[in-house]
Amino acid sequence: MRTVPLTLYVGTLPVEATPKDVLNQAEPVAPTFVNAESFCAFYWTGVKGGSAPIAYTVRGGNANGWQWSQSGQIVGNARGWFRVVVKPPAEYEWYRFEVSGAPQTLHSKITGVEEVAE
Amino acid sequence: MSAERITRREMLKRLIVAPIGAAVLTTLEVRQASAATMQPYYDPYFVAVLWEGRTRCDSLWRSLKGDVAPILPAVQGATPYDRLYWTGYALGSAPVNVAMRVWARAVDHNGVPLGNGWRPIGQATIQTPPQRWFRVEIPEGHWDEYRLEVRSATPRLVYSRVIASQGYWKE
Repeated sequence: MRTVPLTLYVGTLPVEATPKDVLNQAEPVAPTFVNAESFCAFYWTGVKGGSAPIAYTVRGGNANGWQWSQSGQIVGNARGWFRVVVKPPAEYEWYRFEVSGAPQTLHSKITGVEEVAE
Repeated sequence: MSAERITRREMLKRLIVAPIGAAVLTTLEVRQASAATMQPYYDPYFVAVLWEGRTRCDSLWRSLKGDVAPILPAVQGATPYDRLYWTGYALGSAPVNVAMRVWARAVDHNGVPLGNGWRPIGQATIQTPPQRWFRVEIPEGHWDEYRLEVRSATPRLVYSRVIASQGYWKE
């Protein structure tokens, strides 16, 4: 097996108190990524615009609902870099990368890593 | 006694396989077991050399490429790699005392960094007798670009290499 990285998202999001995903979708059922069952890990890196912590939740599931989630906080100074490693325990078709917090911009990139056979 | 006609190739095969196979089993048993354990996770094909060359170290923080411009990366295209290793040695007959630090950042589809500056990954001081090899492991992988900086109060010439492994370490 070998691992292959794929850039899934690069963008800027205005973070607000209302939870939204990185595509700026407030609907809690809306997925950020679909057809993502081949990914075994996600590396979420970027720069936060303010110094206030940003709460994040990554959910995994499918059209029937969310079945798994990982939550945490992105902390650091204004214009500081962050890195979040997400390793879901199973394969999920859908993922949602959701953030909320004090108003600030979040400039980030999500790289998915999939394991492929030789 | 019975005679048997064999080809030269067959003879070589018998000479090589029988005694060496036994010797390996008796003397390298532990190493073989260890190798067998590592095998599912290790494939040397996915180790890449990202940089190799000489760096003139002085009192300034310099990239491995020699520049003092903090905006420039030392290695690019490092996204696929779980882990990086910096190995090398310093030329000269004096003991080595070189400080190093590592920075990382992510870039967008056009290669533009997502933000200003770098994320500090770590720092180390390399103190060795002269002409000794050193090795520094950089554990935080999957960043797009890294900047490795070195500094030495006594000017030194460091010959080094940055390699990266993929799929070997399961973080």
